[in-house]
Amino acid sequence: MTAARIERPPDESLDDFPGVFDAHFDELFRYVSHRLGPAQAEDVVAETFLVAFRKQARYDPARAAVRTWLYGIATNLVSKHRRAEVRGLRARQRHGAGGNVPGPEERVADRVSAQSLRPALAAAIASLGRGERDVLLLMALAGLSHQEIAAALGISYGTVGSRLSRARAKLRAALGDANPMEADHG
Amino acid sequence: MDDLSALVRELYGDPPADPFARGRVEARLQARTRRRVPWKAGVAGLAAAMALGAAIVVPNLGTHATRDTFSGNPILLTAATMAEAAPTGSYWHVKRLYTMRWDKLYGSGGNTYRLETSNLAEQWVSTDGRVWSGHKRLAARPLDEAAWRRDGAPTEWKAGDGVHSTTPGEGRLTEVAGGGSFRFGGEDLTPAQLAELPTDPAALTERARRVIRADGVEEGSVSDVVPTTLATLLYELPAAPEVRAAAYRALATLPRVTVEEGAEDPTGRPGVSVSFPLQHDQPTRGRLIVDPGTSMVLAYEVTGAPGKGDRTEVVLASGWTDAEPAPPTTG
Repeated sequence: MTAARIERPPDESLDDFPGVFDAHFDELFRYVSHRLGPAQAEDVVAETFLVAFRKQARYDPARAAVRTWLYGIATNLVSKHRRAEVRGLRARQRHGAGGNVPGPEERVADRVSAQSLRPALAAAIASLGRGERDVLLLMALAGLSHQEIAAALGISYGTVGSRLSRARAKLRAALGDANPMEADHG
Repeated sequence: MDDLSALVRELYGDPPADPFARGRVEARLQARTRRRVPWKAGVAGLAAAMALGAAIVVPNLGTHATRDTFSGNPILLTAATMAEAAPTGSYWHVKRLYTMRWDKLYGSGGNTYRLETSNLAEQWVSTDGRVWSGHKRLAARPLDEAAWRRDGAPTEWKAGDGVHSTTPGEGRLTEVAGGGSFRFGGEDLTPAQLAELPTDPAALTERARRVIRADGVEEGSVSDVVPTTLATLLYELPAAPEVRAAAYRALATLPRVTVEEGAEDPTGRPGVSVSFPLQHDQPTRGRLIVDPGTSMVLAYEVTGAPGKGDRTEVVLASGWTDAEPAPPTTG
C-alpha cells in the first residue's frame, strides 16, 4: 500500500471497529459509489461493515488484510444489485460521460479520444459476467493486486488471471476499431 | 496501471462527494452495534457527522471591515443579514432527526411490511471547549399498518445486533472526552482555524475550494462540491455568525444554486428551497430548506438519486444558545 492518509499497521485487527471504519470508509464508499451510485452505496457500505462486524470471528489475518477482506464483502454485496449496476452503466452509455472528470489541460487530447470510447466501454462492462466485472473493477477502481483480488473473492490466483484476460479481451473487442489504444495515459 | 484500467477509471470518473454520507453511515452502524462497540462518542450520528472533539469557538466579532454592497440572490442575502444578527450564547447547539426506511421486509406470509426508524441526535459545544452528545431512539413505525396488524402487531423486531421497537428509547447525554477537530471539506480544522475562517464571501469560497481539493477531489469537480461544503458552515460546524453570513452570501452568487420560495421541510415548517446539483450531468441534487427570516437551516435532502428514495436530515434546532446541555426529548 502506498502512503495513505491513515496508515494501518499490518497486524490491524477488528478489535478497534470504529478505527477500522475510520480507516476504510472513504475508500469503500468511493468504490461502491462508482459501481452503484452514491445513494445505494450508503446502504451497501453500512451493510459491509455490519457483515464484517458480525463475521469478525471468521476473519483470518493470515489470509487477507482487513482492507482486502472488506473489499470482498462489499463486492459480494454489490453483486446483489446487479440490475442497479447495469442500469448505471447504461446511463453512462447514453450520456457518454460518467460524470465530472475534466482534469489538467495537458490531458485534454487524451480525454477527447477517451470520451468517444465511453459508450462502447460502458456497454462492454455491463455485458461482462459478474465474476469478470468484479475482478476488473477491483483492479481498475480499487487498485487491488491479483493476490489481493484472489483473497478478497476467495478464488484462486489463476482464476483471477483468467477472468481478467477474458474481461480484457471482451473490452478490447468492444472498443475494436473505435480505438487504436495507442494512447497510454495510465 | 495499464491503458485499459485507465480508461475504465476515466469512464467511472469521480463519484459526487457528499460530506454527510460518512456521518449517516456511521450513525447507522452505531445504532446497530452500540451495545458491543465503543464508538468514540458512544452516540449515534454525531461523532460521525461532525468529527468533533474539544473545541473553543470564539465568535470573531468586530473584525469585519466596512462592507460593500453584496450581490446575488436577495433571499439568501436576507438570510445572511439574519445570520449576522442571530443570537449568540454559551453553546453551539444542533439537534437533528434522522429517519431511515429499511429495505428489509418484516412479517410473514402475505403480511409483510417495511419499517421506518428514527433517532434524535444532539450536540453542544461550549465556548470553553467542552462537547456533549445526546441521543434518543424514537419509536419504529411499520410503513404498512394494515399488514403489520394482520401480522399480529409485534412491537419489537430483531435488527442486526439490536432491535427496532415501537417503544422509544431513553434520552441520553454524554460528554465527549478527548480532543478533536472540525471536519471542513478535507481538512480537520482546529477551533482556532475555524474561528479564523474568512468573513468575506469570495475569500470563503476560495477557502472552501482549498479544503475540497484537500479531500482529493479533482480540479474539474471542485465547483460541484462547493455548495455542500459551504452548507456545513450553515448548520453543522460551530461557525461564527459572520462566517455563516459569508457562507450565505457566497451561496447567493453561485450560478448553479437555485432558490425557490414556498417550500416546506418534512415536518411541515415553511422555508425556501436552496438546491444545487451534487454532480453535473446527474439528476441527484442536494437541497437545503432554509428559514430566511432566522437564517436557520431546517432540513437537508438529497433528491433525485436514480432508483432511490429521497433522503432527509431534519435540523430541529441549530444555533448559539444559553440553554444547558440536556438529554434529548421529543419536545
